[in-house]
Amino acid sequence: MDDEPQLIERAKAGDGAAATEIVHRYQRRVYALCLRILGNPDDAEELTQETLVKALTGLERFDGRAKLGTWLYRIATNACYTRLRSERVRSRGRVPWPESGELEAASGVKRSEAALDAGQRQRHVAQALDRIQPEHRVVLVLRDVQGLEYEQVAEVLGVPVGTIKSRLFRARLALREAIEQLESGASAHRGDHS
Amino acid sequence: VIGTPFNPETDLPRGLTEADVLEWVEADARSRSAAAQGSALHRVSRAVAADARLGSMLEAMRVDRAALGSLESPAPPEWLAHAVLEEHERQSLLALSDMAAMGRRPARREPDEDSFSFSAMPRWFRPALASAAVLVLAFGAWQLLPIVWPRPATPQGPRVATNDRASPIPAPVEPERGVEESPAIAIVPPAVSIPTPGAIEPSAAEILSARLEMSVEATLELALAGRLVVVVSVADAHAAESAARQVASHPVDATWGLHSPSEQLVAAMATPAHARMVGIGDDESGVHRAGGDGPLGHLQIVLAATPTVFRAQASASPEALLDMLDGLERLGTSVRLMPVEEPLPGMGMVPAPTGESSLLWWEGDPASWRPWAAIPVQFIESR
Repeated sequence: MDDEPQLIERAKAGDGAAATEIVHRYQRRVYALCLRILGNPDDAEELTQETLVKALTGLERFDGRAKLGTWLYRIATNACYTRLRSERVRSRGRVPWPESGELEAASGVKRSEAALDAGQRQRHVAQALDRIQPEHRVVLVLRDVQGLEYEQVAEVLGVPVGTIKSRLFRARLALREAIEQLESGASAHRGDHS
Repeated sequence: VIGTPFNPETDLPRGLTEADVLEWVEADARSRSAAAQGSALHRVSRAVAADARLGSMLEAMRVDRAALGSLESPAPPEWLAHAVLEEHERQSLLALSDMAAMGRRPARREPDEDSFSFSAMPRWFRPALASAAVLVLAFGAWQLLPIVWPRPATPQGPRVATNDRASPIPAPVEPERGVEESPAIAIVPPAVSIPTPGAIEPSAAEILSARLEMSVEATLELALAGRLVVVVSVADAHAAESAARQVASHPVDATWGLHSPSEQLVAAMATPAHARMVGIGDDESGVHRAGGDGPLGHLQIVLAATPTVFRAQASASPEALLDMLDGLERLGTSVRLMPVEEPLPGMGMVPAPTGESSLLWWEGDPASWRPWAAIPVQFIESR
Protein backbone atom coordinates (compact mmCIF):
# COMPACT_ATOMS: atom_id res chain seq x y z
CA MET A 1 0.00 0.00 0.00
CA ASP A 2 3.07 2.27 0.07
CA ASP A 3 2.57 3.00 -3.59
CA GLU A 4 -0.96 4.30 -3.02
CA PRO A 5 -0.20 8.03 -3.46
CA GLN A 6 1.57 7.34 -6.77
CA LEU A 7 -1.26 5.07 -7.83
CA ILE A 8 -3.82 7.78 -7.11
CA GLU A 9 -1.81 10.41 -8.97
CA ARG A 10 -1.51 8.12 -11.97
CA ALA A 11 -5.25 7.41 -11.94
CA LYS A 12 -5.97 11.15 -11.67
CA ALA A 13 -3.80 11.69 -14.73
CA GLY A 14 -5.97 9.25 -16.66
CA ASP A 15 -3.81 6.13 -16.44
CA GLY A 16 -6.23 3.27 -17.07
CA ALA A 17 -3.93 0.67 -15.54
CA ALA A 18 -3.87 2.61 -12.27
CA ALA A 19 -7.68 2.82 -12.23
CA THR A 20 -7.85 -0.93 -12.85
CA GLU A 21 -5.40 -1.55 -10.01
CA ILE A 22 -7.50 0.56 -7.61
CA VAL A 23 -10.63 -1.37 -8.54
CA HIS A 24 -8.96 -4.75 -8.08
CA ARG A 25 -7.38 -3.68 -4.83
CA TYR A 26 -10.54 -2.44 -3.17
CA GLN A 27 -13.52 -4.18 -4.78
CA ARG A 28 -13.49 -7.13 -2.40
CA ARG A 29 -13.47 -5.00 0.73
CA VAL A 30 -16.16 -2.65 -0.56
CA TYR A 31 -18.30 -5.58 -1.66
CA ALA A 32 -17.94 -7.32 1.72
CA LEU A 33 -18.90 -4.10 3.50
CA CYS A 34 -21.99 -3.58 1.34
CA LEU A 35 -23.01 -7.22 1.62
CA ARG A 36 -22.75 -7.30 5.41
CA ILE A 37 -24.68 -4.04 5.73
CA LEU A 38 -27.39 -4.76 3.16
CA GLY A 39 -27.53 -8.55 3.43
CA ASN A 40 -28.39 -8.90 -0.24
CA PRO A 41 -25.85 -9.84 -2.94
CA ASP A 42 -27.73 -8.01 -5.72
CA ASP A 43 -27.77 -4.74 -3.80
CA ALA A 44 -24.18 -5.25 -2.70
CA GLU A 45 -23.01 -5.72 -6.30
CA GLU A 46 -24.91 -2.67 -7.45
CA LEU A 47 -23.60 -0.43 -4.68
CA THR A 48 -20.03 -1.70 -5.00
CA GLN A 49 -20.15 -0.74 -8.63
CA GLU A 50 -21.70 2.65 -7.82
CA THR A 51 -19.10 3.33 -5.12
CA LEU A 52 -16.10 2.50 -7.27
CA VAL A 53 -17.40 4.44 -10.28
CA LYS A 54 -18.09 7.47 -8.08
CA ALA A 55 -14.65 7.23 -6.53
CA LEU A 56 -12.85 6.97 -9.87
CA THR A 57 -14.91 9.77 -11.40
CA GLY A 58 -14.42 12.01 -8.38
CA LEU A 59 -10.80 11.06 -7.71
CA GLU A 60 -9.76 14.59 -8.67
CA ARG A 61 -11.36 15.83 -5.46
CA PHE A 62 -9.63 13.24 -3.26
CA ASP A 63 -7.05 15.31 -1.40
CA GLY A 64 -5.19 12.44 0.25
CA ARG A 65 -5.88 13.54 3.82
CA ALA A 66 -7.61 10.24 4.53
CA LYS A 67 -6.62 6.85 3.20
CA LEU A 68 -8.21 5.88 -0.08
CA GLY A 69 -9.81 2.88 1.62
CA THR A 70 -11.41 5.09 4.27
CA TRP A 71 -12.76 7.39 1.57
CA LEU A 72 -14.20 4.43 -0.33
CA TYR A 73 -15.78 3.06 2.84
CA ARG A 74 -17.36 6.46 3.41
CA ILE A 75 -18.87 6.58 -0.06
CA ALA A 76 -20.06 2.97 0.25
CA THR A 77 -21.56 3.47 3.70
CA ASN A 78 -23.48 6.54 2.59
CA ALA A 79 -24.75 4.65 -0.43
CA CYS A 80 -25.83 1.77 1.82
CA TYR A 81 -27.68 4.12 4.18
CA THR A 82 -29.53 5.62 1.23
CA ARG A 83 -30.40 2.18 -0.08
CA LEU A 84 -31.60 0.99 3.32
CA ARG A 85 -33.99 3.89 3.48
CA SER A 86 -35.42 3.20 0.06
CA GLU A 87 -38.50 1.13 -0.61
CA ARG A 88 -36.56 -1.09 -2.94
CA VAL A 89 -34.37 -2.84 -0.40
CA ARG A 90 -37.26 -3.20 1.99
CA SER A 91 -39.28 -5.00 -0.62
CA ARG A 92 -36.35 -7.03 -1.89
CA GLY A 93 -35.38 -8.03 1.64
CA ARG A 94 -32.29 -9.66 3.01
CA VAL A 95 -31.09 -13.04 1.91
CA PRO A 96 -31.52 -15.26 4.99
CA TRP A 97 -28.57 -17.09 6.44
CA PRO A 98 -28.88 -20.88 6.30
CA GLU A 99 -30.31 -22.47 9.42
CA SER A 100 -28.23 -24.73 11.61
CA GLY A 101 -27.77 -28.14 9.99
CA GLU A 102 -28.74 -27.03 6.47
CA LEU A 103 -25.14 -26.49 5.38
CA GLU A 104 -24.08 -29.79 6.88
CA ALA A 105 -26.89 -31.64 5.18
CA ALA A 106 -26.03 -29.96 1.89
CA SER A 107 -22.33 -30.84 2.10
CA GLY A 108 -22.92 -34.35 3.40
CA VAL A 109 -19.88 -34.05 5.67
CA LYS A 110 -20.21 -34.74 9.38
CA ARG A 111 -18.20 -32.16 11.30
CA SER A 112 -16.69 -32.31 14.76
CA GLU A 113 -18.66 -30.96 17.72
CA ALA A 114 -16.26 -28.03 18.19
CA ALA A 115 -16.37 -27.09 14.53
CA LEU A 116 -20.15 -27.38 14.64
CA ASP A 117 -20.27 -25.04 17.63
CA ALA A 118 -18.02 -22.50 15.92
CA GLY A 119 -20.03 -22.75 12.74
CA GLN A 120 -23.30 -22.36 14.60
CA ARG A 121 -21.95 -19.35 16.49
CA GLN A 122 -20.92 -17.74 13.21
CA ARG A 123 -24.37 -18.34 11.75
CA HIS A 124 -26.05 -16.92 14.82
CA VAL A 125 -23.80 -13.87 14.75
CA ALA A 126 -24.46 -13.32 11.06
CA GLN A 127 -28.21 -13.74 11.51
CA ALA A 128 -28.24 -11.48 14.55
CA LEU A 129 -26.31 -8.86 12.59
CA ASP A 130 -29.19 -8.79 10.12
CA ARG A 131 -31.69 -8.20 12.91
CA ILE A 132 -30.17 -5.17 14.62
CA GLN A 133 -30.57 -1.53 13.60
CA PRO A 134 -28.55 -0.45 10.54
CA GLU A 135 -26.73 2.18 12.62
CA HIS A 136 -25.48 -0.56 14.97
CA ARG A 137 -24.79 -2.99 12.15
CA VAL A 138 -22.64 -0.50 10.25
CA VAL A 139 -20.40 0.29 13.19
CA LEU A 140 -19.93 -3.41 14.04
CA VAL A 141 -19.10 -4.30 10.45
CA LEU A 142 -16.57 -1.49 10.14
CA ARG A 143 -14.88 -2.30 13.43
CA ASP A 144 -15.07 -6.08 13.78
CA VAL A 145 -15.53 -7.42 10.27
CA GLN A 146 -13.42 -4.87 8.38
CA GLY A 147 -11.03 -4.32 11.28
CA LEU A 148 -10.90 -0.51 11.14
CA GLU A 149 -9.42 1.56 13.97
CA TYR A 150 -11.76 3.81 15.96
CA GLU A 151 -10.35 6.88 14.22
CA GLN A 152 -11.00 5.38 10.80
CA VAL A 153 -14.56 4.41 11.75
CA ALA A 154 -15.10 7.96 13.00
CA GLU A 155 -13.77 9.32 9.73
CA VAL A 156 -16.00 7.03 7.66
CA LEU A 157 -19.13 7.94 9.59
CA GLY A 158 -18.21 11.59 10.12
CA VAL A 159 -18.71 11.55 13.89
CA PRO A 160 -16.29 11.94 16.82
CA VAL A 161 -14.43 8.94 18.24
CA GLY A 162 -16.32 9.23 21.54
CA THR A 163 -19.60 8.81 19.72
CA ILE A 164 -18.22 5.77 17.91
CA LYS A 165 -17.21 4.11 21.19
CA SER A 166 -20.61 4.70 22.72
CA ARG A 167 -22.41 3.52 19.59
CA LEU A 168 -20.18 0.45 19.37
CA PHE A 169 -20.88 -0.58 22.95
CA ARG A 170 -24.61 -0.27 22.39
CA ALA A 171 -24.27 -2.18 19.13
CA ARG A 172 -22.55 -5.02 21.00
CA LEU A 173 -25.41 -5.04 23.50
CA ALA A 174 -27.99 -5.11 20.72
CA LEU A 175 -26.15 -7.93 18.95
CA ARG A 176 -25.94 -9.90 22.20
CA GLU A 177 -29.68 -9.60 22.76
CA ALA A 178 -30.40 -10.67 19.18
CA ILE A 179 -28.10 -13.70 19.53
CA GLU A 180 -29.76 -14.71 22.78
CA GLN A 181 -33.15 -14.56 21.13
CA LEU A 182 -31.87 -16.77 18.31
CA GLU A 183 -30.27 -19.21 20.74
CA SER A 184 -33.38 -19.47 22.88
CA GLY A 185 -35.43 -20.07 19.74
CA ALA A 186 -33.00 -22.78 18.58
CA SER A 187 -33.02 -24.58 21.93
CA ALA A 188 -36.82 -24.48 22.03
CA HIS A 189 -36.80 -25.97 18.52
CA ARG A 190 -34.45 -28.78 19.64
CA GLY A 191 -36.66 -29.37 22.69
CA ASP A 192 -39.66 -29.90 20.44
CA HIS A 193 -37.83 -32.55 18.44
CA SER A 194 -36.37 -34.50 21.40
CA VAL B 1 -27.04 -14.54 30.12
CA ILE B 2 -29.02 -11.36 30.17
CA GLY B 3 -32.44 -11.78 31.71
CA THR B 4 -33.68 -8.23 31.36
CA PRO B 5 -32.11 -5.92 28.78
CA PHE B 6 -28.90 -4.34 30.03
CA ASN B 7 -29.19 -0.59 30.36
CA PRO B 8 -25.79 1.14 30.23
CA GLU B 9 -27.22 4.23 31.93
CA THR B 10 -28.18 2.36 35.07
CA ASP B 11 -26.56 -1.08 34.97
CA LEU B 12 -22.91 -0.14 34.52
CA PRO B 13 -21.00 -0.24 37.80
CA ARG B 14 -20.29 3.15 39.32
CA GLY B 15 -17.18 4.81 37.91
CA LEU B 16 -17.09 2.77 34.71
CA THR B 17 -17.96 4.19 31.32
CA GLU B 18 -19.06 2.52 28.12
CA ALA B 19 -15.61 3.25 26.69
CA ASP B 20 -13.92 1.47 29.65
CA VAL B 21 -16.06 -1.62 29.20
CA LEU B 22 -15.55 -1.55 25.45
CA GLU B 23 -11.78 -1.42 25.93
CA TRP B 24 -12.00 -4.48 28.20
CA VAL B 25 -14.07 -6.41 25.68
CA GLU B 26 -11.60 -5.67 22.89
CA ALA B 27 -8.41 -6.21 24.92
CA ASP B 28 -6.60 -9.53 24.80
CA ALA B 29 -6.12 -11.66 27.90
CA ARG B 30 -2.49 -10.61 28.36
CA SER B 31 -3.34 -6.89 28.36
CA ARG B 32 -6.11 -7.46 30.86
CA SER B 33 -3.92 -9.43 33.25
CA ALA B 34 -1.06 -6.95 32.91
CA ALA B 35 -3.29 -3.90 33.44
CA ALA B 36 -1.88 -1.39 35.89
CA GLN B 37 -3.60 -0.84 39.22
CA GLY B 38 -6.25 1.85 38.85
CA SER B 39 -6.35 1.68 35.05
CA ALA B 40 -9.68 1.29 33.28
CA LEU B 41 -8.90 -2.32 32.35
CA HIS B 42 -8.09 -3.14 35.95
CA ARG B 43 -11.25 -1.50 37.26
CA VAL B 44 -13.41 -3.38 34.76
CA SER B 45 -11.69 -6.67 35.67
CA ARG B 46 -12.53 -6.03 39.33
CA ALA B 47 -16.14 -5.20 38.46
CA VAL B 48 -16.41 -8.37 36.37
CA ALA B 49 -15.08 -10.45 39.23
CA ALA B 50 -17.66 -8.92 41.57
CA ASP B 51 -20.67 -9.06 39.24
CA ALA B 52 -21.36 -12.42 37.59
CA ARG B 53 -24.07 -11.00 35.30
CA LEU B 54 -21.74 -8.30 33.97
CA GLY B 55 -18.94 -10.85 33.65
CA SER B 56 -20.96 -13.31 31.57
CA MET B 57 -22.27 -10.55 29.35
CA LEU B 58 -18.85 -9.07 28.62
CA GLU B 59 -17.35 -12.51 28.06
CA ALA B 60 -20.14 -13.26 25.57
CA MET B 61 -19.42 -9.96 23.83
CA ARG B 62 -15.79 -11.04 23.40
CA VAL B 63 -16.95 -14.28 21.79
CA ASP B 64 -19.34 -12.35 19.51
CA ARG B 65 -16.51 -10.06 18.44
CA ALA B 66 -14.30 -13.02 17.60
CA ALA B 67 -17.12 -14.63 15.62
CA LEU B 68 -17.71 -11.40 13.68
CA GLY B 69 -14.01 -11.18 12.90
CA SER B 70 -13.99 -14.74 11.57
CA LEU B 71 -16.93 -14.28 9.19
CA GLU B 72 -15.76 -15.05 5.72
CA SER B 73 -15.29 -12.19 3.29
CA PRO B 74 -17.14 -13.20 0.12
CA ALA B 75 -15.57 -12.29 -3.20
CA PRO B 76 -17.50 -10.10 -5.63
CA PRO B 77 -18.50 -11.61 -8.97
CA GLU B 78 -15.80 -11.58 -11.60
CA TRP B 79 -17.69 -9.29 -13.96
CA LEU B 80 -17.85 -6.48 -11.39
CA ALA B 81 -14.41 -4.95 -11.99
CA HIS B 82 -15.00 -4.95 -15.73
CA ALA B 83 -18.41 -3.30 -15.28
CA VAL B 84 -16.91 -0.62 -13.02
CA LEU B 85 -14.15 0.27 -15.47
CA GLU B 86 -16.56 0.29 -18.40
CA GLU B 87 -18.97 2.61 -16.60
CA HIS B 88 -16.12 4.87 -15.51
CA GLU B 89 -14.92 5.11 -19.10
CA ARG B 90 -18.44 5.88 -20.32
CA GLN B 91 -18.87 8.68 -17.78
CA SER B 92 -15.45 10.12 -18.57
CA LEU B 93 -16.33 10.20 -22.26
CA LEU B 94 -19.67 11.85 -21.51
CA ALA B 95 -17.91 14.51 -19.48
CA LEU B 96 -15.35 15.07 -22.24
CA SER B 97 -18.09 15.30 -24.84
CA ASP B 98 -19.91 17.84 -22.71
CA MET B 99 -16.80 19.93 -22.19
CA ALA B 100 -16.00 19.81 -25.87
CA ALA B 101 -19.55 20.78 -26.79
CA MET B 102 -19.52 23.74 -24.40
CA GLY B 103 -16.13 24.86 -25.66
CA ARG B 104 -17.06 24.77 -29.34
CA ARG B 105 -20.47 26.34 -29.20
CA PRO B 106 -19.52 30.02 -29.19
CA ALA B 107 -17.04 29.61 -32.04
CA ARG B 108 -19.31 27.60 -34.32
CA ARG B 109 -22.51 29.55 -33.98
CA GLU B 110 -23.27 32.69 -35.84
CA PRO B 111 -25.16 35.30 -33.85
CA ASP B 112 -28.77 34.51 -34.57
CA GLU B 113 -31.51 35.79 -32.35
CA ASP B 114 -34.01 33.26 -33.64
CA SER B 115 -31.92 30.35 -32.43
CA PHE B 116 -31.41 31.85 -28.98
CA SER B 117 -30.78 29.01 -26.51
CA PHE B 118 -30.68 29.60 -22.81
CA SER B 119 -29.09 26.21 -22.21
CA ALA B 120 -26.19 27.13 -24.47
CA MET B 121 -25.09 29.80 -22.01
CA PRO B 122 -22.54 29.06 -19.34
CA ARG B 123 -24.24 27.93 -16.16
CA TRP B 124 -22.87 30.83 -14.11
CA PHE B 125 -24.42 33.29 -16.54
CA ARG B 126 -28.02 32.18 -15.90
CA PRO B 127 -28.46 33.62 -12.40
CA ALA B 128 -26.70 36.79 -13.57
CA LEU B 129 -29.13 37.08 -16.47
CA ALA B 130 -32.05 36.42 -14.14
CA SER B 131 -30.87 39.17 -11.79
CA ALA B 132 -30.45 41.54 -14.74
CA ALA B 133 -33.97 40.71 -15.94
CA VAL B 134 -35.37 41.48 -12.51
CA LEU B 135 -33.53 44.81 -12.41
CA VAL B 136 -34.83 45.73 -15.85
CA LEU B 137 -38.35 44.74 -14.81
CA ALA B 138 -38.16 46.84 -11.66
CA PHE B 139 -36.73 49.77 -13.58
CA GLY B 140 -39.41 49.52 -16.25
CA ALA B 141 -42.16 49.37 -13.64
CA TRP B 142 -40.68 52.43 -11.94
CA GLN B 143 -40.74 54.30 -15.22
CA LEU B 144 -44.37 53.36 -15.86
CA LEU B 145 -45.44 54.48 -12.40
CA PRO B 146 -45.75 58.24 -13.20
CA ILE B 147 -47.93 57.39 -16.19
CA VAL B 148 -50.28 55.11 -14.29
CA TRP B 149 -50.26 57.18 -11.13
CA PRO B 150 -49.23 60.79 -11.86
CA ARG B 151 -47.37 62.39 -8.99
CA PRO B 152 -48.72 65.78 -7.76
CA ALA B 153 -46.47 68.68 -8.58
CA THR B 154 -44.30 69.76 -5.69
CA PRO B 155 -43.79 73.41 -4.86
CA GLN B 156 -40.02 72.92 -4.87
CA GLY B 157 -39.98 71.96 -8.52
CA PRO B 158 -37.63 69.37 -9.89
CA ARG B 159 -34.95 68.19 -7.48
CA VAL B 160 -31.45 67.11 -8.15
CA ALA B 161 -30.93 63.38 -7.77
CA THR B 162 -28.73 62.62 -4.79
CA ASN B 163 -27.70 59.58 -2.79
CA ASP B 164 -29.01 61.22 0.35
CA ARG B 165 -31.21 58.61 2.05
CA ALA B 166 -32.93 61.35 4.05
CA SER B 167 -34.38 62.77 0.87
CA PRO B 168 -38.09 61.93 1.15
CA ILE B 169 -38.91 61.87 -2.55
CA PRO B 170 -36.53 60.27 -5.02
CA ALA B 171 -35.80 62.60 -7.86
CA PRO B 172 -36.97 61.54 -11.29
CA VAL B 173 -34.27 60.02 -13.40
CA GLU B 174 -34.12 60.57 -17.10
CA PRO B 175 -34.83 57.22 -18.72
CA GLU B 176 -32.17 55.96 -21.02
CA ARG B 177 -33.16 55.70 -24.61
CA GLY B 178 -34.67 52.33 -25.34
CA VAL B 179 -34.96 51.13 -21.79
CA GLU B 180 -38.68 51.59 -21.77
CA GLU B 181 -38.90 49.21 -24.68
CA SER B 182 -37.65 46.26 -22.72
CA PRO B 183 -40.09 43.46 -23.43
CA ALA B 184 -37.20 41.03 -22.95
CA ILE B 185 -38.27 40.77 -19.35
CA ALA B 186 -41.43 39.06 -20.45
CA ILE B 187 -39.75 36.40 -22.49
CA VAL B 188 -37.00 35.34 -20.16
CA PRO B 189 -36.82 31.59 -20.51
CA PRO B 190 -37.20 29.39 -17.45
CA ALA B 191 -34.13 28.09 -15.62
CA VAL B 192 -34.52 24.67 -17.14
CA SER B 193 -31.93 23.24 -19.48
CA ILE B 194 -33.44 22.78 -22.91
CA PRO B 195 -31.68 19.89 -24.61
CA THR B 196 -29.85 20.95 -27.74
CA PRO B 197 -30.56 18.60 -30.62
CA GLY B 198 -27.57 16.50 -31.50
CA ALA B 199 -25.64 17.20 -28.32
CA ILE B 200 -25.51 14.78 -25.39
CA GLU B 201 -25.88 16.89 -22.28
CA PRO B 202 -25.81 15.18 -18.88
CA SER B 203 -28.49 16.39 -16.50
CA ALA B 204 -27.70 18.42 -13.38
CA ALA B 205 -28.26 15.27 -11.35
CA GLU B 206 -25.69 13.38 -13.42
CA ILE B 207 -23.12 16.16 -13.17
CA LEU B 208 -23.77 16.47 -9.47
CA SER B 209 -23.61 12.74 -8.95
CA ALA B 210 -20.11 12.69 -10.40
CA ARG B 211 -19.03 15.47 -8.06
CA LEU B 212 -20.50 14.13 -4.83
CA GLU B 213 -19.25 11.46 -2.50
CA MET B 214 -22.82 10.43 -1.75
CA SER B 215 -25.88 10.12 -3.90
CA VAL B 216 -27.79 13.21 -4.99
CA GLU B 217 -30.89 11.86 -3.29
CA ALA B 218 -29.05 11.39 0.00
CA THR B 219 -27.49 14.84 -0.25
CA LEU B 220 -30.87 16.51 -0.74
CA GLU B 221 -32.35 14.46 2.05
CA LEU B 222 -29.55 15.53 4.41
CA ALA B 223 -30.02 19.15 3.37
CA LEU B 224 -33.75 19.02 4.12
CA ALA B 225 -33.00 17.37 7.46
CA GLY B 226 -30.58 20.15 8.40
CA ARG B 227 -27.70 17.68 8.49
CA LEU B 228 -25.62 18.98 5.60
CA VAL B 229 -22.75 21.47 5.85
CA VAL B 230 -21.00 23.08 2.91
CA VAL B 231 -17.32 23.65 3.65
CA VAL B 232 -15.57 26.13 1.36
CA SER B 233 -11.77 26.14 1.50
CA VAL B 234 -10.41 29.62 0.90
CA ALA B 235 -6.95 31.13 0.68
CA ASP B 236 -7.94 34.25 2.61
CA ALA B 237 -10.86 34.01 5.03
CA HIS B 238 -11.36 37.78 5.28
CA ALA B 239 -11.48 38.28 1.53
CA ALA B 240 -13.85 35.33 1.16
CA GLU B 241 -16.10 36.68 3.92
CA SER B 242 -16.31 40.05 2.29
CA ALA B 243 -17.08 38.45 -1.09
CA ALA B 244 -19.73 36.28 0.56
CA ARG B 245 -21.27 39.35 2.20
CA GLN B 246 -21.57 40.94 -1.21
CA VAL B 247 -23.38 37.86 -2.46
CA ALA B 248 -25.56 37.88 0.66
CA SER B 249 -26.50 41.51 0.10
CA HIS B 250 -28.38 40.49 -3.03
CA PRO B 251 -31.84 39.02 -2.74
CA VAL B 252 -32.33 35.30 -3.18
CA ASP B 253 -32.40 34.55 -6.88
CA ALA B 254 -34.18 31.79 -8.70
CA THR B 255 -32.37 28.89 -7.12
CA TRP B 256 -30.25 29.88 -4.14
CA GLY B 257 -28.91 32.75 -2.05
CA LEU B 258 -26.71 33.52 0.96
CA HIS B 259 -27.83 35.02 4.26
CA SER B 260 -26.32 35.91 7.61
CA PRO B 261 -26.35 33.04 10.09
CA SER B 262 -28.17 32.97 13.41
CA GLU B 263 -26.20 33.09 16.66
CA GLN B 264 -27.31 29.54 17.47
CA LEU B 265 -25.90 28.26 14.20
CA VAL B 266 -22.55 30.00 14.73
CA ALA B 267 -22.40 28.59 18.26
CA ALA B 268 -23.18 25.08 17.01
CA MET B 269 -20.45 25.29 14.40
CA ALA B 270 -17.88 26.67 16.83
CA THR B 271 -17.66 23.44 18.79
CA PRO B 272 -14.37 21.53 18.69
CA ALA B 273 -16.17 18.44 17.43
CA HIS B 274 -17.43 20.36 14.44
CA ALA B 275 -14.02 21.95 13.84
CA ARG B 276 -12.42 18.52 13.76
CA MET B 277 -15.11 17.22 11.48
CA VAL B 278 -14.63 19.87 8.83
CA GLY B 279 -10.95 19.11 8.85
CA ILE B 280 -9.42 21.98 10.77
CA GLY B 281 -7.21 20.95 13.63
CA ASP B 282 -7.47 22.46 17.07
CA ASP B 283 -4.53 24.78 16.54
CA GLU B 284 -5.52 25.97 13.11
CA SER B 285 -9.13 26.64 14.03
CA GLY B 286 -8.27 28.63 17.11
CA VAL B 287 -9.93 26.04 19.30
CA HIS B 288 -8.03 25.72 22.54
CA ARG B 289 -8.70 23.20 25.21
CA ALA B 290 -7.47 22.87 28.72
CA GLY B 291 -8.44 20.19 31.13
CA GLY B 292 -7.43 17.44 33.45
CA ASP B 293 -8.37 15.68 36.61
CA GLY B 294 -8.80 18.46 39.13
CA PRO B 295 -11.00 18.81 42.16
CA LEU B 296 -14.04 18.98 39.89
CA GLY B 297 -13.15 15.78 38.09
CA HIS B 298 -12.45 15.83 34.39
CA LEU B 299 -13.00 19.45 33.52
CA GLN B 300 -12.61 20.62 29.97
CA ILE B 301 -12.55 24.25 28.96
CA VAL B 302 -13.15 25.06 25.36
CA LEU B 303 -12.36 28.35 23.71
CA ALA B 304 -13.26 28.56 20.08
CA ALA B 305 -12.82 31.31 17.55
CA THR B 306 -16.01 32.43 15.82
CA PRO B 307 -16.17 30.52 12.54
CA THR B 308 -16.95 32.26 9.28
CA VAL B 309 -20.41 30.92 8.65
CA PHE B 310 -23.21 31.87 6.29
CA ARG B 311 -26.63 30.40 5.73
CA ALA B 312 -27.44 29.37 2.20
CA GLN B 313 -31.01 28.86 1.12
CA ALA B 314 -31.55 26.74 -1.93
CA SER B 315 -34.28 24.88 -3.67
CA ALA B 316 -33.88 21.17 -2.86
CA SER B 317 -33.17 20.20 -6.45
CA PRO B 318 -30.05 18.94 -8.23
CA GLU B 319 -30.07 22.07 -10.42
CA ALA B 320 -30.11 24.44 -7.45
CA LEU B 321 -27.49 22.45 -5.59
CA LEU B 322 -25.23 22.51 -8.63
CA ASP B 323 -25.73 26.26 -9.05
CA MET B 324 -24.92 26.78 -5.39
CA LEU B 325 -21.75 24.68 -5.56
CA ASP B 326 -20.64 26.51 -8.70
CA GLY B 327 -21.32 29.86 -7.06
CA LEU B 328 -19.48 28.96 -3.88
CA GLU B 329 -16.55 27.52 -5.80
CA ARG B 330 -15.98 30.96 -7.24
CA LEU B 331 -15.51 32.27 -3.69
CA GLY B 332 -12.96 29.66 -2.68
CA THR B 333 -10.59 27.02 -3.88
CA SER B 334 -12.72 23.95 -3.23
CA VAL B 335 -16.13 23.04 -1.87
CA ARG B 336 -17.01 19.95 0.13
CA LEU B 337 -20.35 18.68 1.39
CA MET B 338 -20.28 17.09 4.81
CA PRO B 339 -23.06 15.26 6.63
CA VAL B 340 -23.36 15.91 10.35
CA GLU B 341 -24.79 13.65 13.01
CA GLU B 342 -27.43 15.97 14.44
CA PRO B 343 -29.57 18.60 12.70
CA LEU B 344 -28.07 22.07 13.08
CA PRO B 345 -30.27 24.76 14.65
CA GLY B 346 -32.59 26.49 12.22
CA MET B 347 -31.29 24.46 9.27
CA GLY B 348 -33.28 22.12 7.06
CA MET B 349 -36.56 22.66 5.28
CA VAL B 350 -37.60 26.31 5.02
CA PRO B 351 -40.44 28.07 3.20
CA ALA B 352 -39.62 28.95 -0.39
CA PRO B 353 -38.96 32.65 -0.95
CA THR B 354 -41.84 34.56 -2.46
CA GLY B 355 -39.93 37.48 -3.92
CA GLU B 356 -40.62 38.64 -7.43
CA SER B 357 -37.34 37.14 -8.63
CA SER B 358 -38.51 33.69 -7.70
CA LEU B 359 -42.04 34.35 -8.95
CA LEU B 360 -40.55 34.71 -12.40
CA TRP B 361 -39.51 31.09 -12.31
CA TRP B 362 -42.59 29.52 -10.83
CA GLU B 363 -44.22 27.19 -13.23
CA GLY B 364 -46.25 24.00 -13.20
CA ASP B 365 -48.56 22.71 -10.57
CA PRO B 366 -47.81 23.89 -7.00
CA ALA B 367 -47.64 20.23 -5.97
CA SER B 368 -44.55 19.89 -8.13
CA TRP B 369 -42.72 22.80 -6.47
CA ARG B 370 -39.59 21.77 -4.67
CA PRO B 371 -39.11 22.49 -0.97
CA TRP B 372 -36.27 24.78 0.01
CA ALA B 373 -33.52 24.03 2.47
CA ALA B 374 -31.35 26.20 4.69
CA ILE B 375 -27.77 24.92 4.57
CA PRO B 376 -24.85 26.26 6.60
CA VAL B 377 -21.81 27.35 4.61
CA GLN B 378 -18.53 27.45 6.50
CA PHE B 379 -15.42 29.09 5.11
CA ILE B 380 -12.14 27.64 6.29
CA GLU B 381 -8.70 28.90 5.47
CA SER B 382 -6.57 26.28 3.77
CA ARG B 383 -2.86 26.68 4.31
